[in-house]
Amino acid sequence: MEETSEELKSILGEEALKNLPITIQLMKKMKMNEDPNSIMAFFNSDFHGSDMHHDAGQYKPISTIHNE
Amino acid sequence: MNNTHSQYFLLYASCIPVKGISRSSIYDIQRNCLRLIPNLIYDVIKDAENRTAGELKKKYNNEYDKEIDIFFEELIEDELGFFTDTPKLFPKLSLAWESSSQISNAIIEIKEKSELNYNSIFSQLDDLGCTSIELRFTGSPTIDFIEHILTACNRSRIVSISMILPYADQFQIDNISYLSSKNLRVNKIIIHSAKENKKISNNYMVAKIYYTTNQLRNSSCGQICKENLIINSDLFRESQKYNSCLNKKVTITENGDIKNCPSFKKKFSNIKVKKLKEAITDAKFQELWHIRKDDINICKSCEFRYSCMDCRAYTQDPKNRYSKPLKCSYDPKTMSW
Ligand code: SF4
Ligand code: SF4
Repeated sequence: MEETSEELKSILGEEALKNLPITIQLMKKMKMNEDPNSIMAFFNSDFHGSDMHHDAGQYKPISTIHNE
Repeated sequence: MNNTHSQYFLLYASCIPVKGISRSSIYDIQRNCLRLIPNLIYDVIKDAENRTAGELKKKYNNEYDKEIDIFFEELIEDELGFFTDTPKLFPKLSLAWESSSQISNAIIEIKEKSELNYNSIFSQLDDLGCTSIELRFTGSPTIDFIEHILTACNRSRIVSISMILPYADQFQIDNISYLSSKNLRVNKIIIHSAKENKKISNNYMVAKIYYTTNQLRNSSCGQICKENLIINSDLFRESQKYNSCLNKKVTITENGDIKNCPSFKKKFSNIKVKKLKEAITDAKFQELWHIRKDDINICKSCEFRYSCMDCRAYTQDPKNRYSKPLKCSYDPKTMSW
């Protein structure tokens, strides 16, 4: 937590850090959402990995010579 | 959430948080997806591992009780974590990775009228436990020749075959589909230098067939992009200790040279004079198997480091063995691709 607060302080400035609720600090830090009241933004970014390799008993491609 | 005051919040054992320099991720290695979270939530999750929710809020001077409740509610709603009175009953998943194969995957360059004995190569790979191969055909292979090569794999333990072929008029979709339906271990066929880009995949075929207008050469390899992230338990665990691309990989070039990968200059003898088994036990051959994403500059601070393939052939600084893959555009600091 200490480290993160320091990180935020350097990005937002000490005063802003004191006054802003933590959700808004996060929003600013992540630059991810226009609506600073919505914490949902953090939970919207999902990655579903490429599934093409699993179905044939293979868990990874042998090479990356071709992008699907 | 007040009744959780004396409870512990845990992520499910298969949901594993990984910290990056600017944000973190939770790898769900059971459902094969990845959830991005701010580093602050990573810190809260870690802090919660040995504190009750009440103790955790106190640590943050009870200033963020509401926010912490929201974090946990979200994580529970997304089935990533839960509250418990007995955290000791939920140990962490072992991330050990083992394989009984000496070689798990191979790239074989193939040309018609070669003097190499492909039957012997497949049989040697079989003895080493190899289960996945990529066949890179050069020249102008005929359908009969491709079938002949695939027949040579028939009695092996190989479960998946990818094929890369240069376009020829005979590689119309009917012929290729027929080839694929007769050889159910083939799961991917890429026909490059084609006249148009198209992808054919349906429920009646095991293989996915791609036609691409790009000319694919060995130097086309090593591309890392967000569409190619792979999230699963095997890759996650293997990447903790080994190189995600080169571990247990061998290449046999069209003239029989034995290498780690087709793009490397360094060869470890030739299949005509040395058995694969001997060549791959050379300590030098296995050196690159042990370069993990956690050792590589920039990658070690990336939240995607256990979901992308590595590349040691094309790196930003070829003189530095721990340099970032050249063909990855992701910057973990700015979080942009
Ligand atoms: S090391 Fe790079 S070039 Fe070689 S197979 Fe892996 S991704 Fe391809
Ligand atoms: S920066 Fe490194 S770890 Fe991150 S996506 Fe690129 S290659 Fe993978």
